[in-house]
Amino acid sequence: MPKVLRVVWLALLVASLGFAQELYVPAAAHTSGAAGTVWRTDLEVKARGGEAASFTVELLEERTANTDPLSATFSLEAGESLRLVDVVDTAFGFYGSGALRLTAADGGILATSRTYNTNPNGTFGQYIPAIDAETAAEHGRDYVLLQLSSSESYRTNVGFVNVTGESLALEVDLFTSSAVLLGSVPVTLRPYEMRQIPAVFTQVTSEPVDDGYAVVRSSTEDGRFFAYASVVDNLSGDAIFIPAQLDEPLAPPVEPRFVVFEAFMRPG
Amino acid sequence: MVDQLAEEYAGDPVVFIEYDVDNPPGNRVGRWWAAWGSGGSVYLPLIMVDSGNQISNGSVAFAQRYRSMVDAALQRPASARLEVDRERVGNSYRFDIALTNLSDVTLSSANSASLHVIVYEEAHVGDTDRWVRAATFRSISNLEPEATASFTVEIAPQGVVDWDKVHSVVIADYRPGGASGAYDTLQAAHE
Repeated sequence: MPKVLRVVWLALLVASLGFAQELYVPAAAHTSGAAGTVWRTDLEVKARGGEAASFTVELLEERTANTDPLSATFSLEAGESLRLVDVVDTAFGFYGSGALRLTAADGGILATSRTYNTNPNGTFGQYIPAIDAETAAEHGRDYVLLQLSSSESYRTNVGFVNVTGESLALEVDLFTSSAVLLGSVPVTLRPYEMRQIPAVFTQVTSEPVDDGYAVVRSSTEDGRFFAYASVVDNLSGDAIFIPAQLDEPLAPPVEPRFVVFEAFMRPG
Repeated sequence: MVDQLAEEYAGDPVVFIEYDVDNPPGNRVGRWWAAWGSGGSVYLPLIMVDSGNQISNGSVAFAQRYRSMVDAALQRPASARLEVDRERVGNSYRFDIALTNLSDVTLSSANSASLHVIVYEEAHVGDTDRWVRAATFRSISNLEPEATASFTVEIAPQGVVDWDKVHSVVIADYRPGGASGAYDTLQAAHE
């Protein structure tokens, strides 16, 4: 086989085996929110490991099946980073919210994002990581969102991204800090859908919740997803991003093995 | 060759020991033969890791083969906990041993579970600097998962040149297949 064909064949093989690096930024926006907030997202991407990279950013629009999302492609020289200011508007001309999916076509990438509320006095921002698709939450396990509040002072929005091409059913149980179950919110996501539920505690209680948490799980076999909470200060519009954490007992410590290498031979 | 590996693994939980194949103390060599089974030619040295979970014999790419055996063993979790207290009494040693079964099977005569005490000296007799001077064993009877049993073992090593260079290894092993097949180490401890 000629060398050029071998290279093309290898590239196609790698692509078909799904080795391309895939990162998700679970929330991004170019929109207005509650209490007069105005949300924007800046995305930063760097070529990884001293090599050039090219990558595609896709917008997974909120409350939409994203089987054919809007996309934009970029290239980076070795060592270069790129800031895409207000990326939802500048890259996609979109007004609204969603998630971003970054796929490296060549080389590898590192990415971060900041989603911030802008007002005449400046911005209040929350760091939102770009998370490897391989680390998405899985069916059959419980994930917790901690440090949630719902009151006159704070509201808690929760968000989800379905990272599969099939529909996904989620159950969100909302608790007080003393483990009292306030209620459950079922969520069904279409393929690659992102959805944010604003002020989620108000769906299960009219009482303030100074300190609470949510447990998220999927009943869909092979379901995989990202979940997060964004707790917003109602007065300032300042927000913090809270990623889901696996809520399981710690594995018992593994007893380290002492190895004995035994040789049987004749002396001398 | 084995000395070179012993240096390489000096910082790891590994010990390399060597027996006289024609007069091996204890019953450790039986573990090698249990793993070998029957048939085919066998050449020295006979090498065993984890009581026969891995074996080798004859001329091989020594460093590569032995290193891969040790590395593979280091990746495996232990299935028992051993606490060993050793005291020298004249020309012998007394071992007080507590064995906790961390596996999910009961250790008993049905799976040939045993506790081996091996004493070696840092003496260059064969191809290593760790020559076995004595070995003995005790049977383990009906030790259920999570249970602990205590053993007292006395052993008198022969031919010791320098008592300051005498060390010991305690190995708990069993036969996962019951009456046949290779043995496997549950855990070992070095004093």
